[in-house]
This record gives sequence, structure tokens and C-alpha cells, in this order.
Amino acid sequence: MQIKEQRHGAVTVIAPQGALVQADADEFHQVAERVMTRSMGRFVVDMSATPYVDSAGLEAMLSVTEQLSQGGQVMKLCNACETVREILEITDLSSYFEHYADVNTAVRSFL
Amino acid sequence: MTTPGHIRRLLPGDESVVAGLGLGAAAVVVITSATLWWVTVHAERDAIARGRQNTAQVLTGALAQSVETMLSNDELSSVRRLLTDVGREGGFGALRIELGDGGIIADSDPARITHQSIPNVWPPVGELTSGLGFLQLPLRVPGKGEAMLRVELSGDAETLAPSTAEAWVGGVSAGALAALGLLYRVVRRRTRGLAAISDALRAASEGEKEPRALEVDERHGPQAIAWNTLLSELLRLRAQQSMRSGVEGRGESSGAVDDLAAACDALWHGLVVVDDELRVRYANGAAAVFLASRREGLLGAELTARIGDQEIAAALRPLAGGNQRTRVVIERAIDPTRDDAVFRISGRTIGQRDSGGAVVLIEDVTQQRVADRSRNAFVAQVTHELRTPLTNMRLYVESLLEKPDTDETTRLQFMNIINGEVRRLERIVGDMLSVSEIEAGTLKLTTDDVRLAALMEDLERDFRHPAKAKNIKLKFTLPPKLPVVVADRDKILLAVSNLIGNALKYTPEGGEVTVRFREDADRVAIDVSDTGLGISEDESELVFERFYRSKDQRIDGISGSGLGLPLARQVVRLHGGDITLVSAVGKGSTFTITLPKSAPLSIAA
Repeated sequence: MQIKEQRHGAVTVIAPQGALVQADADEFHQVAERVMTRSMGRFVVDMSATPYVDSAGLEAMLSVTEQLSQGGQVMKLCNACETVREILEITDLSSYFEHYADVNTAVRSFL
Repeated sequence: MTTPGHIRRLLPGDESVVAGLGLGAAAVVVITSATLWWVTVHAERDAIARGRQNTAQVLTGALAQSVETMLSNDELSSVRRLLTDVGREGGFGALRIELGDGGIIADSDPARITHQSIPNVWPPVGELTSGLGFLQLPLRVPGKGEAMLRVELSGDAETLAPSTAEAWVGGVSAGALAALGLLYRVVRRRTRGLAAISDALRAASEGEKEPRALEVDERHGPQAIAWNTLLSELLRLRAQQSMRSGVEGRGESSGAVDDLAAACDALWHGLVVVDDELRVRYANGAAAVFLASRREGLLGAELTARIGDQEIAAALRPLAGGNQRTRVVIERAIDPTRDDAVFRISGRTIGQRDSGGAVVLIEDVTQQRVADRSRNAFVAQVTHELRTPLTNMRLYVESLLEKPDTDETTRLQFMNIINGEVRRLERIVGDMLSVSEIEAGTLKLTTDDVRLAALMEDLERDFRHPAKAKNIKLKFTLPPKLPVVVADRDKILLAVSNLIGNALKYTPEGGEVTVRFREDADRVAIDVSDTGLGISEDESELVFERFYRSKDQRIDGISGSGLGLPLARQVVRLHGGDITLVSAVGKGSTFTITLPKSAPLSIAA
């Protein structure tokens, strides 16, 4: 799975290119953890190219946001499509993440 | 982790009670083994010597009778031969016949003989004795007197070789000793941790209350690590207790402590409480993240060692000591290897009743500093953008004022230039205002039916002259019939204008700019392609950020506010569409505006 990384000022935006399922979820978890450690939590997940998230993907996302919460932060998502938003709503996990309409708004939230 | 110096002084080196017992046991075993060995060897040697003596007694008794018989027959030479033969074959050291005056008449070694013949008279032999290694027997020489047969057994007790049994006993003892030594080493290594803990306990009983000073070297093994963990836990509990007593001291309920701890952990800024020597007494989760440490590891550690900056240490020390009451604020990259992060570290003394200490707040201000830099760059850019048209306008107006007699043609030309600059200024200010409105969420869309055919005609007319002036071929490849969409006409016009304007701006002379149109059931798409400089993959998203100017050196001479593309994308997104980019450096770029055919569902940014 390709995961694009881009710097917006001091914020790293990671954009998984595809659905967060099975093995791809593991890869996402590893990349997110590495970026989180390096940037001390200053990162945003751009979900614009992620059409779907399965239980493994949710687990990976929860694990990362759980680690972030130990430092008083939560994972910031942006551009989540309706399917992903619905999955988060149905599983009652939406409140574990901050949601933004686009990358710039998410990046500005670090100001 | 090492044992602090003053604790090391309290301890008797690495030796311990266990080590002493081990040494004592080893000494006892060594002495016992050696004694056993010595006794066994000597007893056996004694037995061998006595056995040989008994055999020799029997032999020499028989020999004495033969010699007496020979002497009675006066066969001295036969006696001497007999002694020599028996001495050689019987394994005796020496055999001799001595007279009372010490003279020797026969000897297994002929060289020692003093009398060649038997004298007629000699004094009587003294009292005869026998001992370990020699025998003395009386010899009666008929008619002459009494002589003495002296037999010396060969070798002595000390030169006897140890038997196989002795060698075994010795070998086993030595092996047992070696094994014991090895065992001692292993036991000592294994119990070193316990010994260190025992020493630490002794130090504690002697009054050492500081858990940090009671820590032991973790290389001593799992017990040592467990002990240190217990001490860390003690530190944490003390910190909590101290917090609790502080809260209770202010008359608040003890339940507030848990709330307070939870609140501190929910903070996104690092919060550290240090004692008067800058040792960490409390650290919240964010502090642990910023200092790249585990929270347990932070407790009791020196804060300045974790930050690793002497200037910060120097600034915080007076606070912790209670000598400075004012706030200290320092901005610094704590760890330069970590993502260029900039932290603002502020501290203030706590000033408790009987001890010093300070609270230190660590904030991650990296993004703020990056934003500051962009803002400064923007101000410089905008100043430049605003000043250029103003300067041009001032120059032409002054010129007209100074020369009232300027001919009509020149006057009109100047007025046109001034008009152009005023429009440019208006556009820049308009862009800036639109961006601000979008940012503030106050920009409203005035939607209506937009005839795309008419919109495209307007665009073609607007850009025909600028394209021609730069010798760029501007093509509008459009289907014969264009649909009508629901949108804010001015905003869409602004977005497409920005894209075409940019395409003309960044395409060199002789290039080509093409506008195409596509549609499907739900959406329409407008492609603006150029044969210009192209945008690298790294910058393909950054160009949509406000005030971003490409790092490409080829655009150095081209002016721009960095507002056009972000503005275009924002207004298109307000319509529920988007702008995307496909580009290759040196070949050109294609920006695509996609818009829904129906009315936008939401105008929220």
C-alpha cells in the first residue's frame, strides 16, 4: 500500500492510497507510529484516497489515537469520505478522532 | 544506572554477608581437605616402612646366623661376598659388621672396610638399638668376642613415592576445591543483586531517605531492576502524596487529586514539577512525549539532563531554588534531531513552605514559528506586490502633473497604464479580501444558473490579448454545446481566470495553453493545460497553500501573491467541487476544475 507523506510547515500529512484493510492496516499503523514519534504528534491523516476502513483499520487508527492521547492529543482526520464517516459513527468511534473538512484546516488546527 | 558515590561509601565494596559466608566455607573445606590428605599420605608411608622393616628383620636374622657360622669357620672373604651380594640383591642400603671399637671387618661396600682380617681382641659392642630405617643385630665370633651386624634399609620414608590412592585423594580434593571455587563465583554473581539491595536497606535503616540514592546497579540482575522499579513507584506515590497534601492543605477534597492528575494528563502541553535540585517530581503524559522518555524514567531524574541545554538549566536553577519569583520563558529546540521541533519552556517557582521547587511548562510551538515565518514572507511579498503598481501610478501621475502640455496620445497612454495598475491593485486587494472571507467563514455564494458557454466566451475575450502579447497560443477546445450549471458565476469566473492567468504567466513565449471541457452525468470538468515550467511532485499540494511560492528558481523573475490557487480551490470547494493538478517539471501542468451539475449541498468551508 502506498502512503503519501507531505510536509505542511511543521505538520506531516499522511495520505493512505487505498482502503485500510488487513495487512494495509498494519502498514498504516507502522507509518503513523513512525510519523507520530518523529513529529511528536504533529500529523494529520488525509483520508481523501481511503474509500473504506475495516476492523483491522479501525484497530490501527484506535491504537494510534490511544498513544496520542497519552500525550494529551488525538488523531486528526481530514477529507474522510461518507462511508468512512458512517463506519466511525456506527461503531461509535467518531469521538476518538478530530475531523476536518480539508488538509489546510486540519494543519491550521496545530496553531 | 550506577550507585551514587555517597552510598558506595556506605557499602563494604562489593563484598557482602553472603560473600563472607562463602569465603568462610571455602576456607574450612580447604583446611579439612589438606589435613585429610596429609594424614592419609603419612599413615600409608608409615605402614609401608614398617612392613619393610619386618621383612628386613626376618632376612637379617637368617643372615646373622649364616655369618656367625662362616666367621666361626674363619671364612671372612665369604662373609664379605655374602654381604655384597645380599646388599645388592636384597635392596638394602648398607650391610656391615662392626666391632666394638668402630672398626669394620665386612661391608656391602668394600671401600668402607677398616680391618682386612679379624683382630684377635676388640672392646665389647655397646647396647644395640633398632629404629625406623636401620637394624642392629649381635654377632658372636667364637673365641674372640661379640661384633654387630648393622643393616640400613634402602631410601627413607620421605622419598617414598605416593601411592595411586594418595594421588586419587589429592586429585579429587583439588577438583572439589576447583568446583567449590567455581560455585562460589556463580553464587556470588547471582546474589550480588541481593547483596546490593541488602546494603541499600542497611543504608535506608541508617537514615538515607532519598529513593534515588538507594538505587542499585541494574546490571546486578532482575532483583536489582525490580528493586529500582519499586523505588520509582515510591517516588511516584510520594509525588502524588505531596500533591494530595497540597490540595488537602487548601481545604479541597482528596478526590480532587485524581481529577487534577487526570486533568494534567489530558493537557497537550508538557507539565513538569521539579524539586529544588531540578529533579522531576511529577511529569504529565505530554512532557514524557516531548522529553522522549517513559514517565517512570523521568521521575527522580534531573530535568536539565533530559533537556540537555545548559542555558535552560542555568535559567531554571534559580527558580527551583526559590531565589527567583518571576517567570522564565525560553524558546529552544530541545532535541535538534527531532523534526526541527521548537519548544517554549516556561517556569515559575512553586515556593512551598519548607522546600523549593518549580513548575515547568513545555509547549510545542513549532507550527506557530513556521506560521510566523510564512506570515513574514507574506507581508514582504504583499508589500512588494502593492508597492509596484503604486510606484508606477505615482510616476505616471507625477509625469502628467509636471508636464501639462503632454500631447493627447501620450496622455492617453499614461492614463491607460495607470488604469491597468489600478485594476491590478484592485485584484490583489480583492483576492486578499476573498481569502480572508473564506478563512473567516463569511464568504457567501450567490448561486444562479450559469451558462458555461457564455462564461467561456468571456474568458476567451479577456485572455486573447495577454496571450497574443506574450506570443502564446491560447486554444479553447470546447464541444458545440455547453451545459448550464448552478453556481456563483463571479466565483467560478475568478477560479478559471486564475488558472488561465497562471498558465499564461508560467508558460514561456511560444508556448501553448489549452482549455478543454468534459462532462459526465453528475459533474463537469474544465482542464487548463500549459506547456510551461511544470510543478514538482513535492510542491503539487503546497501550491494550493496560501502565500506559498515555489522554490523553483525559474520563477524568480515572475511576480505573484501566492493567493490565486488557494483562492481558486477554496471557491471551487465551496461549490462541492475541487481542483486537482497533474504536472511534470519542464513539460507543463494541467489543472482540472470539477464541479457538480446540481446546486452545492453545503457552503461550509
